[in-house]
Amino acid sequence: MSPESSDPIFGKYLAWAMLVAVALVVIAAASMLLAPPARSVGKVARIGILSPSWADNRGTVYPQFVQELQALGYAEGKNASLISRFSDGHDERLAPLAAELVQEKVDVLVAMQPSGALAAKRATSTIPIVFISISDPVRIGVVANLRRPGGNITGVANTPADLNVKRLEILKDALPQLHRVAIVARSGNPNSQAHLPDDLKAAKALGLEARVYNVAGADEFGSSFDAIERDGMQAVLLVQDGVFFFQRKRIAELAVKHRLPMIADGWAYAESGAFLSYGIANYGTLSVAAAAAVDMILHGIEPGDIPIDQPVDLGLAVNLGVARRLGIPVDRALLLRSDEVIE
Amino acid sequence: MDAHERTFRGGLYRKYSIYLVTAVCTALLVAGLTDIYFTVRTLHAQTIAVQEVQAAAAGAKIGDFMEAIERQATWITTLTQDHDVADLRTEAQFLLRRARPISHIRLLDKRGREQVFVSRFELDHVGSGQDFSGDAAFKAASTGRIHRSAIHFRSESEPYMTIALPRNGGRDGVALFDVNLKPLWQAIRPIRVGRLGYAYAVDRSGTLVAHRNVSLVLRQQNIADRPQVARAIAALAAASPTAAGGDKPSDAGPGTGDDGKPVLGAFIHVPKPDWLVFVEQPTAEANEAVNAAIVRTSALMLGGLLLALGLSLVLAQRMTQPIRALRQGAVRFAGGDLHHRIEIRSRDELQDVADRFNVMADQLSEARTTLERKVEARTQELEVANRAKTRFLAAAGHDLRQPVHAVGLLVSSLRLKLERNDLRDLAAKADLAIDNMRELLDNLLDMSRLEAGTTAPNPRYFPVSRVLEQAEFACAPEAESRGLDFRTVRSEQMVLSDPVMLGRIVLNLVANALHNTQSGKVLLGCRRRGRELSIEVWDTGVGIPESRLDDIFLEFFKLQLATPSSGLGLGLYIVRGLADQLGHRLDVSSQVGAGSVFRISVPIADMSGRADIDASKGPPTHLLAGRTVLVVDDEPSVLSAMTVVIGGWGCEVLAAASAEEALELFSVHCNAIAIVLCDHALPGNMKGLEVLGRINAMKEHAHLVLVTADTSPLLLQAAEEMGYLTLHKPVQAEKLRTFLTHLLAGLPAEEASA
Repeated sequence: MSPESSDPIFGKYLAWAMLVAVALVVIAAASMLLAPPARSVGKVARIGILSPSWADNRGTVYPQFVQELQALGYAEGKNASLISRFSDGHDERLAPLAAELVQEKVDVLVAMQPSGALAAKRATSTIPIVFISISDPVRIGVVANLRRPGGNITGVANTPADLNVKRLEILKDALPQLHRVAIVARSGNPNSQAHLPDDLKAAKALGLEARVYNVAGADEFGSSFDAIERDGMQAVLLVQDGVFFFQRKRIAELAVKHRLPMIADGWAYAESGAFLSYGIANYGTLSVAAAAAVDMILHGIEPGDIPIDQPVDLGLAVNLGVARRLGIPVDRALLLRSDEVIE
Repeated sequence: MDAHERTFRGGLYRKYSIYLVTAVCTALLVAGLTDIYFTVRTLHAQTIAVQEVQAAAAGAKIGDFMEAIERQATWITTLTQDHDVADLRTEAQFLLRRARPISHIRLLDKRGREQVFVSRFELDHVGSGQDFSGDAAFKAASTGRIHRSAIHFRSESEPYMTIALPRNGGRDGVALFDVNLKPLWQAIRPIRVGRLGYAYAVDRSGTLVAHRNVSLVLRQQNIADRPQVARAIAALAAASPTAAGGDKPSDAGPGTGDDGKPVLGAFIHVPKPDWLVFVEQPTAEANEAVNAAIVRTSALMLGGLLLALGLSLVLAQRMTQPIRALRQGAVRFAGGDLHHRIEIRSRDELQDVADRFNVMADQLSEARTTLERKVEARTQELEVANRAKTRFLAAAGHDLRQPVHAVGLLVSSLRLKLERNDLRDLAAKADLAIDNMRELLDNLLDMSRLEAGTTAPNPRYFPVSRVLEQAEFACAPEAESRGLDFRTVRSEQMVLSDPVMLGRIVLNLVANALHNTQSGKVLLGCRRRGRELSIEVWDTGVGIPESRLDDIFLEFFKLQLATPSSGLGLGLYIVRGLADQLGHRLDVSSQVGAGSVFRISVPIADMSGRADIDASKGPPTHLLAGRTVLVVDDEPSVLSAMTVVIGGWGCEVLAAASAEEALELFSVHCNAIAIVLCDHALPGNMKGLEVLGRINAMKEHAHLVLVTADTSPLLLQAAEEMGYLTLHKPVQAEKLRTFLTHLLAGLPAEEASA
């Protein structure tokens, strides 16, 4: 009498159950290990940003630039690390801050404004640099040429400095009676200074009599405008400059006070009280171009091979409120060609 | 069964395991491989699909852009060349505002002279009259067709296209628009596919017009040599040139990327700028998901296979277990173990089989037990019957022997005393009849002896003439009385056998021949055959049918003859039994109606100087004279007969009728008594055996002979063990005489016992 003894069977069951368990564990482990890697596997891109702005007031370009980076897939903490340094308006701090970023071994250094760019250039000749908001990078010696900068620097240009020509033309179109125009430039801006002869030539071609008024700093605005009015100037061309930009409201008020229609660079000026402004319609495009350049560099393209991006989206803004205050009739033509009309 | 067990291979478990594992593994493999195949195809198709979508999206953006520009520019082309130039300028400036990508507008009159130039960057010209009639764009558009230039670069790196629209079908000249193409780059360059995928665009000649790496575009790198680009350009050339819109994205097919490695991609043709937009991903990256899927599927398959393997083995085990139990049960059952029961608790057909098997085993077991019991009962019955038969025979023999013994003795002595011939004849006939009876009783005795196994052959060398003469002597009277011609051929040969047993054989054969021959001859002779002597008995009797040649040797067998013959049918049975014991070959040949011959083959003695007794001489009879013989028998007739006969030979006979008397007599005359002839069946508790025992104790050198009619094997065995000789009643007088003489002559007792 030999009934099926259950013990050997149980032993067998146990052995097989264990084998099955091991098999399942192996499968699970294999699956997890061999899951398609997360897209962001790979090294984290270290992007350094050097800005002359204030940390708590970063301007418009900085946030837009960060946003554009995100749009291209660079997320802080995931595959990118943004290291920012602000000089809080003190240009002399830019050099040591740049050196700091170099120490941080950033993969690319984004420098804002000519001052930032020059500081970055001096700080490193190996780390790729992308500048934003420089009007004439060749003229100020940031890069050798626009098409193929060479070296380790490329970037996004602000506005062609020779837009002043167009601005004078627009001023003349808006003020048919215009004969005498004051050209206000910052003495400390090499860009502006370099273009002045061309500006005067253009004015002459338009049949205008132009006179240059150099201003060193914000404290001289008042006296300058006094002089401009005293000299019987009929309108003002404000040559773009970073400092002017930050003081645009005050300058605009002065212009209005002295009953001077003023044309300046970007729309921000018109918004702040300038009669006309002709310049970049959308600063966002600078960030787009800068982010694209950073992306190219991070993908291994030499900065020297990347041409300097020049904005082409230029627009005219008219401040009708100021026009009314100044008693300037705004004709239809002007309105038609205006991209932005501010009340 | 053991050997069979050992060679039995069993293989059911292995077979089942293999089948199950094969089945499951095949299924899994097929499933897995199919899965992988379709996964690969699907993933590739999905990748391409995604790329096609992106290409389509980019194509749509580009198309919309161009569409918008040209639509917006159309208004100004409706203004005739006679329009006021200042107005034209205003309209142009208005257009600049509306179409942001346009950087310059140049209005030429019918003759190609510049009417108005408006720019975002430079100073406007109004009515300059500059001659542009040689301009290719002017020439193309003035025929009424829209002309789009190839991409060219301003300010070193700005991509531009010049679009020439005819003014009023060319009647009023051409309007030229410089369009910045950076918005198109914006539609293409940010496109990402996975980690490494990207997009780019080429013109019809394969020159890059948009790429993530701007420097490649500025260098105007041509990539028409890449397979996917070449294919796309060829397809474009083959398609209808007037295909307006409706270009769908397509699989670009296998291609090469910037780094030379294979890529998967899709492309779309955008008609307005006549660009081919490609969206690609390195095949390696596209395959990552595929590879991961393959590895995952393989791992799952492997795990599944292991699981299947395990389960299959377990399952096979479970399936074969009950079958093996059944087999085991059958094996043990066949081996005789009827108590083995198969236990299967699988609650299915196998359990049913096992249960039925067990029922069968129960029934067989029971039947066997019953059978065994019956057999045992039967055997017991038979044994009882056999014992009864033996007892009967013993009793009958014993009962018959006494009177026959007495009668024989009496008739013998009567023959001696009769003087009248007619009376002597009568007595002779009576003697014959008595001989017959003796013979019959002898046969019965022999048979029971054979059954008891007390006759162990004692081979000796002796002349064959001894047995021949014995038979002749015993049977001649009968032959004579029946008128048969009975002859014996003498022989001088010496043979090796047991003379007593051989004598019996020959005697029985002759007697048998005589019984079965109505008339004619019986011949007893010898024939030498090699090393054996064939003693042959020929008769001219009725013969034996061939079918019965074996049967004649059976117990109590008698052929059915016309006339019934005497005898019990034991003669040949005894012959056979004795021949078997002696190891002599027994043959019979017969022809019905002619006669038969029986042969017994005896080994011839090798005459190497063995001295032997010349039996023909026989011991002198005078040895008997004067010797004292004690005869013990409770039957008065027997006793007196014995006394007379033995006394007639010159012996002094002391007669005792009981055990006590015998002992008393012996104790008195113990010195004189030479032979004691004691009957076994004595009255009282002491039987002859015991008497002899006591006598033996008293004196050892008397010849102690147990005389009895009892043929029970036990008795004979006991006597033999004690060393007593045995004489069976009825004893022929002559035999008795010879016996006694030999005893007193000191001859071996075997020769004497009969």
